[in-house]
Amino acid sequence: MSRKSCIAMLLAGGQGTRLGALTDRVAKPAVSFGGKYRIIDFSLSNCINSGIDTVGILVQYRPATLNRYLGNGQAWDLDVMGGGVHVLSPYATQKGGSWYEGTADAIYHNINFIDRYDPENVLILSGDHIYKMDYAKMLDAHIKNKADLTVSVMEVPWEEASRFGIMTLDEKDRIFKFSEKPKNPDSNMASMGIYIFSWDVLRKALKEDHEDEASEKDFGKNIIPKLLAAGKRLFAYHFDGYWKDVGTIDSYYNSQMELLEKEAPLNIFEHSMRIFSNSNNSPSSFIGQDAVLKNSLVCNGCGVFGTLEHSILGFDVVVRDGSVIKDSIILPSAHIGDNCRITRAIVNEGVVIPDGTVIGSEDGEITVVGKSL
Amino acid sequence: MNNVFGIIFANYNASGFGELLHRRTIASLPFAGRYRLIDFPLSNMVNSGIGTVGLIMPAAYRSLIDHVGSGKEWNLSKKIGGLFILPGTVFSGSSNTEKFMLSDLLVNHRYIERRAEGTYALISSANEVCNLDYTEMIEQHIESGKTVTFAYFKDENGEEKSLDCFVVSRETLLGIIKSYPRSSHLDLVELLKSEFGQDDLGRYVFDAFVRPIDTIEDYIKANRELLDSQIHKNLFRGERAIFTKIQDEAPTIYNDGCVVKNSLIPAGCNISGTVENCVLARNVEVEEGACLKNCIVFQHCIIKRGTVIENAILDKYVTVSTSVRLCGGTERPLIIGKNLTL
Repeated sequence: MSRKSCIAMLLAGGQGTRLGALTDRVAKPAVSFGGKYRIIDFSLSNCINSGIDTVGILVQYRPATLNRYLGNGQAWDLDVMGGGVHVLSPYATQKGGSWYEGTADAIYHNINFIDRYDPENVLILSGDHIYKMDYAKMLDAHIKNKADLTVSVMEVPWEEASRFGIMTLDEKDRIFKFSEKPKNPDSNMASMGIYIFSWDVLRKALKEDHEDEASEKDFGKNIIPKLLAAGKRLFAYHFDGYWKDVGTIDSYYNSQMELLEKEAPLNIFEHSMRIFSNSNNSPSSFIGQDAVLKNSLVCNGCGVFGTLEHSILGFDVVVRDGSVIKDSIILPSAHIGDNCRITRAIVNEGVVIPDGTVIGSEDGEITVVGKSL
Repeated sequence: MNNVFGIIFANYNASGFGELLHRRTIASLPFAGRYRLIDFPLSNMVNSGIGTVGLIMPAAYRSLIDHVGSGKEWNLSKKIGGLFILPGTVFSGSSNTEKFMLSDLLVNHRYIERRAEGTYALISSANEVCNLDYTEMIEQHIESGKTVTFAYFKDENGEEKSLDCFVVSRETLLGIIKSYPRSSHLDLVELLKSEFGQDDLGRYVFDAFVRPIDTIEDYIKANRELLDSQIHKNLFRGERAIFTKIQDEAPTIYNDGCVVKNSLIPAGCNISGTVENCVLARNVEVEEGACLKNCIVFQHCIIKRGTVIENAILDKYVTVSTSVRLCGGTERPLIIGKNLTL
């Protein structure tokens, strides 16, 4: 097998506790987004759109839905010879087994997997960010800088800088300081959790970090500071497009509502850097005689007989007569009975809402309906 | 149904569809927004457990092969069996009289002799809208010991009509191929009916929604019937799915001010105007103030603002400019050919 320039390792094992009921049964990367997508679609589509055809997906928390969704990677054109999608779960050896203890530990346990592809570089991704990015450009910068590690960064407002991992750069974008959630930030360049490592450097760093009992085995907390201390060449790659961490209910809700804006910051409709998904085979949606639709997104397989206002319907959703859905996100296969009022709410996949139910209100917190009522 | 293989004659072409069948065969005629007519026999066979299907191609096969590809969407891209693309004969390339040309079997006898595994062949045309399980019919055929079993269905008036679908043994087919080595213009169904006596011919009647699409009137009527949500549900959302080529479009956006009533709309559209009693395909754009009534619109059409279109069928990539007014008759709709800009 010829040597690969870059393969991707996608961290998809997180529970996503802050998404509450939405991750009761599925891992965060498998949570539905924008009606027809799942969060992981964005990173996976970015990979294939950037020419990366080998992706190891590190799973741990509730992987069943995610595994089923990924299949052989065909939906993202990632069913290729000598590459493709590989689901990598924690495993046992003769010495016993353990869970992935941190982001770096997950990669450490799959050193053999990466070695089989013998890549020059390894791209580390999170499966829970919404963005379109051409990793090939970042890889070009990494190679041009002869970097050991390139971190993708974006400018954040100064007042928010203390919520992020902040990179302090010299005039040539070399990173000379990294501070995790600094109280008094001296830079507003935030790490997006997207790293390109030269594999030999990362391989060595992972082995050393594994021996360090004090380490939390985390890229941000341990690996990057250690490489920096060792005087390695760390560079920043500036990204100025749309990027959202959808780790909280508010950010999950708001980033989807942004899809409904006239000039949506993330364009899911254009065919360049297209976002692929493992679509199902549902028929066209049926829009009834008395349906009213205002500023809404509707996927295939729906039956809309009520009113939709500024809302998103996933695939195979039914909204029965007289129901009014406003400012809400209804995830796939949910069924809303007759004469319901759903306002500013997120209804989980497959949830059945009985006739006449009233959920949510115009203001206040977003209501999440995790299970059938 | 491991002992049954399928043959679909997709090289029959109907007349009277104007531009719609100018460069495509009826098997690849779009239907219900996301489908093409070939999806019905292909899905029905697969749903009945038939894993080997030979598809006899028309002369103008581009649109059909673009749609079926390797057969992956029907689970027919596999090592054991799968989809076999079979060439049609030159004579029958645009046949609009015979559906089951014997000559097409003659040129493809190797498929029946060697590649298709199974004792029985289920043979179907490709222009019937229906969601059927052939299992019972095949079982009845085997138990009855008849030579051929023809499928029928009851139309809206309760009259029994031929479904253009039948079961016959591989042995019988091979026998016919041997006996008529050069009879290119014979129709297989007529031949079977004349070759064998009444006692050898069985019948099986399906009690289901079946709509043969032989004329443009049939096509319009069947599309209109689907605007009854119950009929649509029964056809597509029962225990068996109808499979089709997946294109993975973004959801459809319904903008402020749009009015959509009683219509079938797949993903990938952008709607700002009025759409009533219409069947749209993917990637259709209806601008603000445009109005579509009783229309069937194929993929990638753009209806510009202020336009009114009633009773029309728009083929793919039609763009209708601002403030145009087009009205067809309810029974005789306007047909607007592919790639036109009006």
